[in-house]
Amino acid sequence: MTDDIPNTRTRRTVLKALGVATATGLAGCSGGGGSAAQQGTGAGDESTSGGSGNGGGGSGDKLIMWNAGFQGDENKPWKDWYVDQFSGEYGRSIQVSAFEYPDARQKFLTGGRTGNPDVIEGVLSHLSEYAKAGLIEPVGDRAEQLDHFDGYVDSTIEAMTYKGELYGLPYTGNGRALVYRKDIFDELGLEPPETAEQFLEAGRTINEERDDVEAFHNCTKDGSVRAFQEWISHVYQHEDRLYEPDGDSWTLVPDAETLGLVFDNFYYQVWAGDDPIGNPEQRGTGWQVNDPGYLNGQFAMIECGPWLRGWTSGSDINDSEKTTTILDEKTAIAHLPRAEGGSKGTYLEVKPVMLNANSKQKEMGWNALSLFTSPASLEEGKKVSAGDYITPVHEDVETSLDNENWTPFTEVFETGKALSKIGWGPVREAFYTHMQNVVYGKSDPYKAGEQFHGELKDLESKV
Amino acid sequence: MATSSGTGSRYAAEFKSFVKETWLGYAFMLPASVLLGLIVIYPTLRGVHISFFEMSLLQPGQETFVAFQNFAAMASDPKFWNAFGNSILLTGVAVALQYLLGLGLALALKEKVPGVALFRSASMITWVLPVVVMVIIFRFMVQPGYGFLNIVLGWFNLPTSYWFGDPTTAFPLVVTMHVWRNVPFFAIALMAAMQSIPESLYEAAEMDGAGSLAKFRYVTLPQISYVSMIMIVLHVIYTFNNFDIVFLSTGGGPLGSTEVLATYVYKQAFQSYALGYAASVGVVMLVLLLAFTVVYVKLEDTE
Repeated sequence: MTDDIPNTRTRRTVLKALGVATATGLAGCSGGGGSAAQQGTGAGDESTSGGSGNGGGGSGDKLIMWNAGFQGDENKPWKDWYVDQFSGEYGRSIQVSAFEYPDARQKFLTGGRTGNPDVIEGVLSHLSEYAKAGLIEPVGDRAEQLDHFDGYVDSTIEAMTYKGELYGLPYTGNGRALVYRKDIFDELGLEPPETAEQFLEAGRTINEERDDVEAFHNCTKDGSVRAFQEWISHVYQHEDRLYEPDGDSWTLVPDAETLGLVFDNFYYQVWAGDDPIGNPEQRGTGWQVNDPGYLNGQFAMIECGPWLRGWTSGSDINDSEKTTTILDEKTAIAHLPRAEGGSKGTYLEVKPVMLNANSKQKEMGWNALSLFTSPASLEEGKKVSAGDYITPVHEDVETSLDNENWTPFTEVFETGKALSKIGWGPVREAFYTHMQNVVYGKSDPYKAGEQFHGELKDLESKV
Repeated sequence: MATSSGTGSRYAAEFKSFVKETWLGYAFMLPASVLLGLIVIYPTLRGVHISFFEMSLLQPGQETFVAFQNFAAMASDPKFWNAFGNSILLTGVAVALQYLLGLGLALALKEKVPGVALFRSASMITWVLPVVVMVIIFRFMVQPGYGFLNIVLGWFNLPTSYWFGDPTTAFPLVVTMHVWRNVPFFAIALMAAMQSIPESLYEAAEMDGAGSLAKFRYVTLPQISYVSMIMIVLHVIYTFNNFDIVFLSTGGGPLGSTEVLATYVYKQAFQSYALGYAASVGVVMLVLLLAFTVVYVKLEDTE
């Protein structure tokens, strides 16, 4: 008994000590960065100490950039160059994460107010969403101080302007064009189609005459960003905008007939008509089938940007040599075919790099942004991804165009129209529903156009 | 008075003793309780709170109280009902198949035959595979032209297609992925439960003249019912809430044929920016799952 008592006490004492330590630790955790700052200075209002110490929370010392442009092993040399260059010029380290766009968008919309990341790259529809949410900082005043600012292509800067404020700088851009197999067209005596009628006729001829290739493919997967971009490219052949500003609201520009016309010529006739030019077995697929399909010789026509040009290897490519031959010798580019009443026009893809309005290191964030979008950085990007620089966004960067068949991309880029600065999410959701109804033959294209038009009208005050 | 005072002091002494004896226990519970409160209870309550407001993802600071309007809108939303029906169907079919096939696999794995140890390990591969890898494998298998499934169908001159893009086959494919993934987990759990059944029960049943089927019906099934309940409840919750399998494979399409409540909530929140409406759908999911769990556990206890 006498031995038991001290033992029990000792165990209890140890347990008590552990309990107190755990509680203290937990309290320390919940105190967060502010608590660390207070401990460092002995004062309650020294938030700058937290920022300069390790307890700053959020950004801390290291600058953070999310950038899908650095995705993939092929972009590693560019990423390494950028990180080295940044630390060399500014004496600071930068952490670059290569997120997929949907992930980056979701995380930034929900967590961007923490100030993390300091700099984010994205697509144009992200820019308008982030600007509406107050998540990104206008950079016009800073940008005008840059020596190379005037060299950016005007349309790309306009694309990044929302309510008179510049919200980002571009680093790559392109327009969507018809990428087609010149050898097959030549063999069958076909001309590159300018109208929807010629396009459908050419597709039917190819399907009749060739068993080894399918005439056309476009993206029809629910939720596919590419599907939306392809569709709006055709809308931009009829109107400069889907919505135009109207005071604090927006007004839908195209009429129901136009929406129906686009559905009919580029979705219904392609997939669900009496003589479809696409393979109905491939309905519901996205870029994962579209781009590799063309590169592997499966399709005679697709709607695409210039990034295909340098894509000759990787897990999606069956035969690198064959793909190289297709791209170098058998491919040509034309403006997208147009439905009745349409003119040359396409979706202008410009990718912005933006500064987090909640960043605790805005000046350094701006340095990171301006370095990444500088001509020197774009030249490095061109070395690893030539296809993205066929239509460079800055005059100091020479085009990577090395094949005359691909020259029309330059002209296509000039007809590009930027997205209106609305929140595109609800528009995209409505589009996928009606597009798939048409593609699967569940809805008449003009009826779908009418219904879609009604839904888009309802969104005028909400987007 | 003296008695009252004595009783009071006794209660005080007992309370003091109780507190003295148990405060350490409370102290140890505190961190877990605080963490649970922060990680589980607060977000849940916040979600319920948001469901009564109109709130945009782009301006989350501006919220308008709308009482039950989100729930009323849900009642007349055909897309919600489509997702609701698909969620119920997916959960019912997938969990039933998982249980039945898992039970069969457990019975097979329980047998002492040569190579069974290797087979047990191999059977877990589908369960340990990351979801994204599984989806990529399935997508690759059903690709038109070069997908394994279509190649095999082609050998027999059967029709080929991108099966995830076909409204009639996309949903069964999603069910297949759930089943393919989770059957081994069911099997291992049920096998462990079967192995803990005392041999004497089977011997007694044999003495009573029970055959294999009767032994399975009257000994094995009742003895594994508790583990079965846990597995079924867990997988009903997992399947009903599952987002990644559907989102990665079909995105809810084609034509909404694979849309489930989890993907619908995501689209409402992140595509349509309707945080309040998305939260109200989440609340409906929560209530349904709570009701299912309570009823099922009560029924199991009654048995």
